[in-house]
Amino acid sequence: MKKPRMLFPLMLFLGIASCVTINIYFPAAAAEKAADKIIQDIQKSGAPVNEPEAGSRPYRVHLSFLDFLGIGAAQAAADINIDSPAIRQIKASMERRFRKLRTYLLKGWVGYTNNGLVAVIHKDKIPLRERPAVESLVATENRDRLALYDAIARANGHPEWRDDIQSTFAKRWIANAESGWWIQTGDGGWQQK
Amino acid sequence: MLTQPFRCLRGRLQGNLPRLDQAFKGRFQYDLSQARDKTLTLFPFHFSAGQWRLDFRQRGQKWQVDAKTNGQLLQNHWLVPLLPDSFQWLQAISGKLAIRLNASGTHETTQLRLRTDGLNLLFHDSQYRRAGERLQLQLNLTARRHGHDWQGSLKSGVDGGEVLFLPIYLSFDDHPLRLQGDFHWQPHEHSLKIEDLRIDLTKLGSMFINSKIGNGINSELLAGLQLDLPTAFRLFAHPFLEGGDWEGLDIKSGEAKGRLTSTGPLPEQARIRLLDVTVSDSGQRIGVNRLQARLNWQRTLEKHPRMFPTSRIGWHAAHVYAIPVGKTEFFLRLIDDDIRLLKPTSLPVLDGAIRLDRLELLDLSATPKVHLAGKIEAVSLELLTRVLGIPPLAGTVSGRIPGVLYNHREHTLKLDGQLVLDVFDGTVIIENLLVTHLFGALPRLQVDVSFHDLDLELVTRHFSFGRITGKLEGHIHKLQLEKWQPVAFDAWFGTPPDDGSRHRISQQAVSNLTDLGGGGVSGLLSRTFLRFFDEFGYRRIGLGLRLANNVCTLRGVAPASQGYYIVTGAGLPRIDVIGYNRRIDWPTLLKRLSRITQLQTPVVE
Repeated sequence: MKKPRMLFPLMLFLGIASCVTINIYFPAAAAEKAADKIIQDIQKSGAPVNEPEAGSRPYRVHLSFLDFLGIGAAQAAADINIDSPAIRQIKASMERRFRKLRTYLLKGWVGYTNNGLVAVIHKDKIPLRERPAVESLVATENRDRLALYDAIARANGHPEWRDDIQSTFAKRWIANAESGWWIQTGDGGWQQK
Repeated sequence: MLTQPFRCLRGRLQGNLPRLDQAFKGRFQYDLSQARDKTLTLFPFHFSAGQWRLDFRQRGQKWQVDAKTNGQLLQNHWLVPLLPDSFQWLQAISGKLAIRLNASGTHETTQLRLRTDGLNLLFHDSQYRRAGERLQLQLNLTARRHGHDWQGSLKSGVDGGEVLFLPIYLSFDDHPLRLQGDFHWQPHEHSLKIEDLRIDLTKLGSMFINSKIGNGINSELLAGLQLDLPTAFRLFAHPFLEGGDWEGLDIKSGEAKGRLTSTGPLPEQARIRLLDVTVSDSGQRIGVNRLQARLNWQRTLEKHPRMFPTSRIGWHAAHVYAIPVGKTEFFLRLIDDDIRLLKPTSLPVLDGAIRLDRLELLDLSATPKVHLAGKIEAVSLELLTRVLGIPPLAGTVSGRIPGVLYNHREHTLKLDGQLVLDVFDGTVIIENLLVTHLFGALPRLQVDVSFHDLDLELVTRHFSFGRITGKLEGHIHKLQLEKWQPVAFDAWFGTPPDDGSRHRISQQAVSNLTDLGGGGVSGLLSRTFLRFFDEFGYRRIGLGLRLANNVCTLRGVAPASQGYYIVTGAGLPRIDVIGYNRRIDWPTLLKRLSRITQLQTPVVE
């Protein structure tokens, strides 16, 4: 009879404490939504378009940055802020690169890793002539991706979220990959989506 | 096996090389019975799918060995263990070698001749970071030993195939290689002397090297280089620009010639000549036409502490974004890690010039810093705005550039001091300019601008805004542009408090200002008796705009009920313009502004 009564205040305390900790949990669902928005914007920029390449470029960047500033975007990302000069900067650079990256993804020379980056795969299949460009593109893309995860964490005032954001992005890049692209499984192997 | 101890005509031999785990077998014959003439022949001798013939002959003091094969198949399982440790990365190697080795001599001298032809050679490491395919190689080596020293010559060529040593790729199909040179090797002194080694890569360039290497360290070097710049840039720079900020940069023409000398382990003197170099950029950010340079670099030497040759670099024409830069010539001094401008230089920009009094690029190999100071000398604003494609302005830009700092690591360009523009009879002062990621995907610019004593009549006439007379002052604080589009600023334009000039405002200007502030007198003007007046007197005009998060907040010279005064009237008929919209969507405001300023003729009924 006595024991449960003594436990009650402790449980209450634990209950309150856990309520408090919930607030600093990483907002996973919002982060997924934010990741999808960024990933889809970037991948859209590399998709085949009808307009001539040079003409479509400035409009694309301009529109995406207006989207960010606009009220619509602010509502969509209520919990995760994806609008800071650094994020816009990195995103623009990734958008510009994606067209070329996509051709490598389609050829199976580059794949999406399980940690939110890209990697050169099937190295024996890549003509030697193309190797330096593929390696260089993957290295710059990974630099931008790591900087993007860091910038999003910082824009939200939680630099320690960087790893959570990276793993959220890892899932969303793979989920948003086109079928036929190579993706890395949890155990490190590669398979075609 | 032996029938006689010193003679055998049909011997057989078979075995295994334990270290290489490779079987061999063959037939042999020998005759060692003659005192003066001994022979040994090994034929056919089979080793790893290759057939060899080996002849040995000794006559008195002289001996001679001939070994040859028409096609020795290369296989990594026995070849890699034979190679030195620095080749242990080889994961696969294949191909065929034809080898002919001839050696002869006495116990004092040796002569060696080796000819090798490689066919379809292939190699790579496990990660394909180092790889070669379809290589067609020939190598001729002759060497002669005198005592301990070797002297010889090497001639080699690669006529086909390709190699990758990340990040370098080279196709010998496009650029066949020729190599030729002499060497002198003294194994006891650990000294190797390379004489007149010449390397030619067809359509790319050539190189010559004279060098002395002792204990693995260069002690003397004279090297020359000649390079076709467009080809070199395409081969060695393009792969790294792809997907980066400078994708699209190209060298269309030009040649480089260089020479490097040293008498110790470090280079001491370099001379580079660049001839007729044309640089272009598909993004039209920069371009240089017919650049010529004669660069003389020198390391500070104890023996000649004050001998520094002059360098010269110049171009026929250039451009940065849409701004053209005319013919320019710089005189520079290149010492160690630093580049300094030797005398003030003028860069013609449109009808004016940018004069550089000081230009220093310091500590280039470690933490690069750029210091720049100079003047802008009367560049016409009309021409400048026209080439930049922004609404044209009349006047001139001139000013002192007390200091520009470029930080390469952070990609930032910072202006110390003020730029003064003389325009509309007044002055515009630009200060605290900071550009980040200047050539990046999203260049950002931050600047403070202030306006003093502008003649409003000239301003309004220029923008077809509708005539307003009087003076104008104001500022745009913390103006931020991203990709040259404003994203934030805090601006004020208004009548100076102590302005004594005549204040008149036209009907069109009133209507435009009303439109901007979202007020409601424009209808009134055209409907009432006020339409009979072309212009009105005013006491003060003022409009403040603050842009943040794509929303522009407006304010006026004074608060009014439910709004703010943009114009306070004076005299009769008195007209006040009151704005009611305090917040306007920035794109909407931009649309209104462009509609107003594009109206060429005033609409007066």
